[in-house]
Amino acid sequence: MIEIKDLTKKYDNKAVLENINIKIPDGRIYGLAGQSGVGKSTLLRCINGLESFDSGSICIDATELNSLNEAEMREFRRSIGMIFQNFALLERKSVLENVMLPMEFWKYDRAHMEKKAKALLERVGLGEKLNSMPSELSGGQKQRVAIARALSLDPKILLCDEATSALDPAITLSILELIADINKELNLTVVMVTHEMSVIKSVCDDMAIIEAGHIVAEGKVEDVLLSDAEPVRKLIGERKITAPVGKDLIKLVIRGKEEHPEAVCELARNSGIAFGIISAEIEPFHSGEYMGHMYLTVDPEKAETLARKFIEYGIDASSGKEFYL
Amino acid sequence: MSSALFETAFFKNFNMIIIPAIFSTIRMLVFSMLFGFIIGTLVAILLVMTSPYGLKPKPSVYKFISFWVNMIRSFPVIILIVAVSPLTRILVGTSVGEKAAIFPLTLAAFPVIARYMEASLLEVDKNIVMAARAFGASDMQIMFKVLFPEALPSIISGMTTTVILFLASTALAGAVGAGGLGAVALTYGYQRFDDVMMYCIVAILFVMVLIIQGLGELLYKRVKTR
Ligand SMILES: Nc1ncnc2c1ncn2[C@@H]1O[C@H](COP(=O)(O)OP(=O)(O)OP(=O)(O)O)[C@@H](O)[C@H]1O
Ligand SMILES: [Mg+2]
Repeated sequence: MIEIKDLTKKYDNKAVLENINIKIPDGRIYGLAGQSGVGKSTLLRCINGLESFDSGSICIDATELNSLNEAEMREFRRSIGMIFQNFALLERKSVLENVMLPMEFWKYDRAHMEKKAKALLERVGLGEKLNSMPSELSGGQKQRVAIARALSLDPKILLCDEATSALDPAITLSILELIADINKELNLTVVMVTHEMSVIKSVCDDMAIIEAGHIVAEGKVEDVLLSDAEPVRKLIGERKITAPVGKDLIKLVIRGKEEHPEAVCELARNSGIAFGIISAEIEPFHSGEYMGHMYLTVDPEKAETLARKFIEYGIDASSGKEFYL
Repeated sequence: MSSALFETAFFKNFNMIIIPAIFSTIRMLVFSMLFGFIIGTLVAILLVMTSPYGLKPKPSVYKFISFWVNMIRSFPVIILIVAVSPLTRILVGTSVGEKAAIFPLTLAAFPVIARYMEASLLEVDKNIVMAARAFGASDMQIMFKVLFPEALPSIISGMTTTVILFLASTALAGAVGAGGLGAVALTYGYQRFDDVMMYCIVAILFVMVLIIQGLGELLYKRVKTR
């Protein structure tokens, strides 16, 4: 359990994080989203003590970070793995040596280090690349090495700072899958900093949105993202959808239940009201459910009735002339 | 024909004067570089520890060390040799000759080496340092298991430049009693107008530069591609 209470962090008397409160239960994948420079990385680094803070507290399990002296802090960091956007591999060490490095810091014996590193590299799908140099690997492969390295000390928590931001979409997906699998296999708590909504949608259970050092939205991923809250709109980019001349819009929030998309079909057949679908964005979330928004056009005098019918079906619907997508 | 060549004054000079001078220069260079490297490395470690961009920023300590390093570096070598000659006499027993030159040359070299090395070490990607920290590495472990190994190619090219620079300084030191190739070039070329001798020494210095540069590049490539 990671518990952050009233955390405030200043650089040169300017607060970059203010009154941050977050609780992350064990085994969850937690997304920290926000635009560039809002303090995401800083918050992440506070969690493993790479960054000090000015007030508030961070408790990990029963450990209060501020109470640790330097040696205890080093010991504590053993239980937290970390991966970075630019992989941060040592260029002059082989893949195997890179994975062994954290164990070297803790003076494991050579045979154990090698065995463990090989097993981890096997696990991330790089069993064949043990003796390659990082410069001979693709971005995705480098991140796999970094993941293996981060797991070498058997951490309970994995911190990811924009771990996929330097990768193309297909590779991003495979890395996210790997992280999600590891999260399940090892019951690892994962904290993911990202500015990409797709990352949050595809792997995170819970999320927070940070704006200028403050948390402006928090909760289960679907609750946050399907809400119309301004922070979400800002992050995704505000796009407006306006009703065509002479029509009204109905916005449907499709979530959770599989029968929802079918319900749209059924109502089209049975409601006796003609409507068109002008936009729909429904995607699979980490939970495996399909969720998103759908926008319908309908004659203004029928809008109220149609919206009510959807609501009777258990679908959140509202009518109007314009919506934020 | 061949005996005529062997008996020329030039050949005698070559055997009797130039060859010993070459070895003298090499000895001065090797020892001053060796001691300079050891002291320079220690100073570089202190600089990298205390630098505002370093492992454990201590600006006041950094400024202090930095001040002295800059101070010594601002002396032209030849002036440094003369300026510290009383100290040299105390330490080495004499202020002329090969041994006496090694002390001021070392003194001149270590700040140069320290600065080059500081730059090389601080050039290592900050994220790699952060990663090492995140895994619980101590500052010393970061220094020796991360910074030095990663910076090695850059340190080698810095050292190559330094050694070449100090080959010239060692020759210059000949002007103030150090002996070696510099002294020969000055005695024969400047004072006796023996152009052959002088240009011969220039050529030897040139070849030495090529060799050092070549070795440096070879070593660099070795450690770079590994
Ligand atoms: N060492 C530092 N000294 C002073 N200010 C800093 C320092 N590090 C970060 N900042 C400032 O703190 C703020 C938050 O930085 P941070 O790196 O946490 O942002 P971020 O959300 O991770 O951004 P990005 O998405 O670009 O990585 C920024 O405004 C940055 O300028
Ligand atoms: Mg960042």
